[in-house]
Amino acid sequence: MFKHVIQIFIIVIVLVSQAEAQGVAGRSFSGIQYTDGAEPIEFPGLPIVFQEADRVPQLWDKRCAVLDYVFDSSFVPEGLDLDDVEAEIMAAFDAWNANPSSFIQFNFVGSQNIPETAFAASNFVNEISFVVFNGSARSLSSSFIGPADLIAGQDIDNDGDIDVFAPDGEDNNICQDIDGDGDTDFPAGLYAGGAIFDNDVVLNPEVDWSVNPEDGIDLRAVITHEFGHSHGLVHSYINQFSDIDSEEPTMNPFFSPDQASRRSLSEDDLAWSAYYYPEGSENEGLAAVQADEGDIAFDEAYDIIKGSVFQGDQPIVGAAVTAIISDGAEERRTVMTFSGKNKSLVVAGAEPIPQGFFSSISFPNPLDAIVNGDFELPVPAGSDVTIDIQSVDGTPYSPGRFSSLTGLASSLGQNNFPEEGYVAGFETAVEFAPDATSIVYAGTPTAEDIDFVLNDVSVVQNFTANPVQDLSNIPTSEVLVAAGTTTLAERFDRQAFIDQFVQGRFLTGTNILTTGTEQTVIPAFTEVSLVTGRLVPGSDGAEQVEIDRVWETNLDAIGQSGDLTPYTFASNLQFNLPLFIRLNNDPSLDLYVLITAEDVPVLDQETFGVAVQNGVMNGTAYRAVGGGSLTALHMDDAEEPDNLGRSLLIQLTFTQFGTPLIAHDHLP
Amino acid sequence: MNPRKFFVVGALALTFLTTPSSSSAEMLRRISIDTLVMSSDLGVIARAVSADTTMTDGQVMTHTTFIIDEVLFGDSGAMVTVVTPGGVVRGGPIPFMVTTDGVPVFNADDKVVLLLTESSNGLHDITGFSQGHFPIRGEGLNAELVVEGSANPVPLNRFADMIRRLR
Repeated sequence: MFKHVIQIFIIVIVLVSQAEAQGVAGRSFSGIQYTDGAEPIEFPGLPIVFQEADRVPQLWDKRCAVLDYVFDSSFVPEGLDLDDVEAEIMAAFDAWNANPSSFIQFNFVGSQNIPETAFAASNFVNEISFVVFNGSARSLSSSFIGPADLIAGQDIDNDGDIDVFAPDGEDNNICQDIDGDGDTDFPAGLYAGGAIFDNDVVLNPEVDWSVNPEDGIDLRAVITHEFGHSHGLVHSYINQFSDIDSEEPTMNPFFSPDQASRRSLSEDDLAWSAYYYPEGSENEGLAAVQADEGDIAFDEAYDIIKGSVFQGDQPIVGAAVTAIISDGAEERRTVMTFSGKNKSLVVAGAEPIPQGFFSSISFPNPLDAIVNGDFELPVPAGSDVTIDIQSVDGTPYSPGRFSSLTGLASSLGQNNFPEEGYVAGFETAVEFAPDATSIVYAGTPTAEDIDFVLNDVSVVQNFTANPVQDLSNIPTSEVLVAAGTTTLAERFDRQAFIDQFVQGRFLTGTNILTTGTEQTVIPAFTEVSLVTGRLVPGSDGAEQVEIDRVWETNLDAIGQSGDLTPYTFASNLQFNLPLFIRLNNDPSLDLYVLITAEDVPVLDQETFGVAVQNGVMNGTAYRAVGGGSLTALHMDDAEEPDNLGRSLLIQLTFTQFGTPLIAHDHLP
Repeated sequence: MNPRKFFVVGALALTFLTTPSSSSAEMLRRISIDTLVMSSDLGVIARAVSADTTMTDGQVMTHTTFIIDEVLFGDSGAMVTVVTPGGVVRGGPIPFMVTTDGVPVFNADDKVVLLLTESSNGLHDITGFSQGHFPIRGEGLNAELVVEGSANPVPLNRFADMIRRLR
C-alpha cells in the first residue's frame, strides 16, 4: 500500500537582516565551533573525550578581512619571470577586490625570499609560493577551532613572539603587524570557530604555467580560483550557465578549456564573496559602505531566497540548489549553494590527540550529524528567479570535490535523487510536473520557506551499472552526433513501463547522460521525444525501429556539460493511461526515448561536440542519420556487457501516484 | 559536570573518523579513469584504521593508514599509508585546523578503492589528488557493495574488474 502525502508550504515574503544571512555554510568551507552547552562524551576505555561541534562557515573575521600576501620569490619556474607573476597576482586580487558589495580585500605587499616559510600553516603570514607537491594549485587555510578567546600578550604559535595585542580603540581593533616583525598580530577578543588566521596558496612549478591562456595553463585564471578558496569559498556545482553559454563560474572545480573566461568572476563567484563579506553590514569600518570607493551595500545588490530541502520529514544535506534567472530568451544558472547544516563529535580540549586516533568520531546514529536542510541563495536584486535542486551524484562532479555537506550526503546515501524544480503551491513528494517553472522571487528582499520536498520517484534506466563517467576520455570515433540531422533512440522494454504503472507510478520525465559539451559548442538538441515503436526488418534484413506514435516532444532541449539532464513530460497526466493501454495490448511495442540534434560539428577529442555515446547493449540503441531509418548501433565494445567508461545513460523517472491502479493479477 | 557516555556496541575504534580537514582548495585537471590507473603505482581495496596529523616546518599533513583487503595492481604489504594535506593541530595554546578543498575525508573503517602513487619513505599520495579516491558504501556478504563518485553506484567487483582490465 502506498501512502500519498501532500505537504503544503506557504511562501512568505519578509525582510531579514544580513547578519542572519551569514550563518549558512552552504558555499563556504566548514570550521569547527563547539556547540554551546554540549557535554563532554566519553567512550569507555578510550583516552580521549569528545564534544559535539557545529560545522560553521570558515571565513576571515571582520577584524582580519584585509589580507596581506607575500610572494615567495625564491623560486620562479622557467618560462615565467618575477614581474609576470607579480602582475598576475595583482590582477587576480583586483578581480575579487572590484566586487562592490564585498568588503574583503586582498593586498599584495611584495616579493620576499622566504622558502623556509612557504606552506607554513600558522606563521600568520599569507604566502604565495611555487612548491612541488601532489597537485597543480592549492589554497590552504588555517582556522581556529572555536570559540577561541585570544588574550593580549599570548604567543599563539609558541614561537617566542607575542601574537595578540590589546586594542586601544576601534581604529586599532584590526589585525595588523603591530610590532613590525613581518607577521600579523591579532587584537584580543573572542574569535568564532572557523575564523581563518592564515592562508597560503601554493603552485606546482612542474605545471606548464603561462601568462597567456593560449600557451599553457593560465596562471591568472588558476590563482583567481585559488583566491576564491582563500576567502573560504568552496567549489561551485554550476557546470554550464545556460543552453547557449557553456561557460562556468571561476569556482568550478576543474580547469576550463576556455581558460581566459575564468579570469573574470561570474555572478556566482561575486554573490558568495558578497554574501560572506557583505558591504553595509557595519556602520563603520571595513564593512561599512564607502560610497566614494564605489561600494554598494549587499542589501541593495542582492536579495536572499531561503528554504529547506526535505525527503518526507528527513532534512537533506548537500543538495545543489541553483537559482535560474530568466533574461529574455536565456535562462541562466546564476548562483548555487549546497543545502543543510551538519555537526560532528570532535575531540574536546586542546591537548594533543594520542597517536593513531582520528580527531573526530561519527555519531552512533549517523543521521544525528544532520542539523537541518536549510539553504540561502543570494540573488541579484530585481530579477525573476526560479530554482532547482539536483543531487551531487557524480554527474557532473563527485561529492568529494565540494564540502563536508556533500561528503556527508554521500556517506548517508542522500545524494541520489533526480533533479527537480521548485513548483510553488505544489511542492510535494508527488509532483507530476517537477519543472522549475515557478518564480519564487521577483524583486522582493527575501523569499522564505522555499522548501523543496524531494519527489517520490523510481527510476528505470537502460542498464543497471553505469560506471564512472569521464568526459575527457571520449574517443572521437564514439561521438555519435555529427553534421546533419542525427536521431538517437534508446529502447525500453514495454514491461519496464507496465511494471511501474501498475504499481501506481506515472512516467513524468527522462534524464539523459551524456548530452553535454565541453565549452566552445552550444549544446543543442532540437528534440527529445517519447515514442512507442516496434522493431521490424529493414530492406537489408537488419532490424530497425518503426515509430508507432509520438507521445510528447520537448523542443530545443538543454544539454548541460556532462550532466544528467532532465526533461519533464508536461502532458504525463494525459498520456500515461493510454500509453499503458497501448503497450499492454500490443506486445510488439516498446517505449523509446528519441534525441535529435542538428548540424553538430565533429570536433577533436579534447573539444568534442554533443557527445552522445553508446555501446551499452546491442539491441537497445538505434541511430538515424539525415532522416533515414533508425538502425541498430553496434559499437566495437558492445560485446562487453559492462562496457565500463563509455555509455549513454538514459533514465525514465516515474512519480509515485498512490494506490496501484491495476493489480498484477489482472494483467494478461 | 559528569561526562555523557556513549556505550557503543562493537569495536569502538571502528567508529572513528577524520575531522573533515577536507576540502583542499585545488583546481583539478580532469583525469580519465584509464589515465588514473595507468599513472598509479598501486591500486587497492582498503580500510582506514588509524590517522595521525603532524606539523613539520609549519606544514600540516595527515597520515591515514589503511589495511589492504585486496591489491588490484602493484606491489604492497598488508598496510598502506596515504598522506593528505591539512588536519587538526592540537597541543599549542589554541587548537586549529588546516583545510584544503577536495581532500578526501577518511572515516575509520571506511572502505575505499584507492589509486595511489608512491611518494617518499614508502608513503603514498592519491593519484590525481582526490580523483583516485572512490568511497565504497554498503557492507555484508549479501549486500551489494558500491563505488560512488559516478552517476550511479556500481558494484565493487565490477569496478575492481574494470581497474584490473585497464591496467
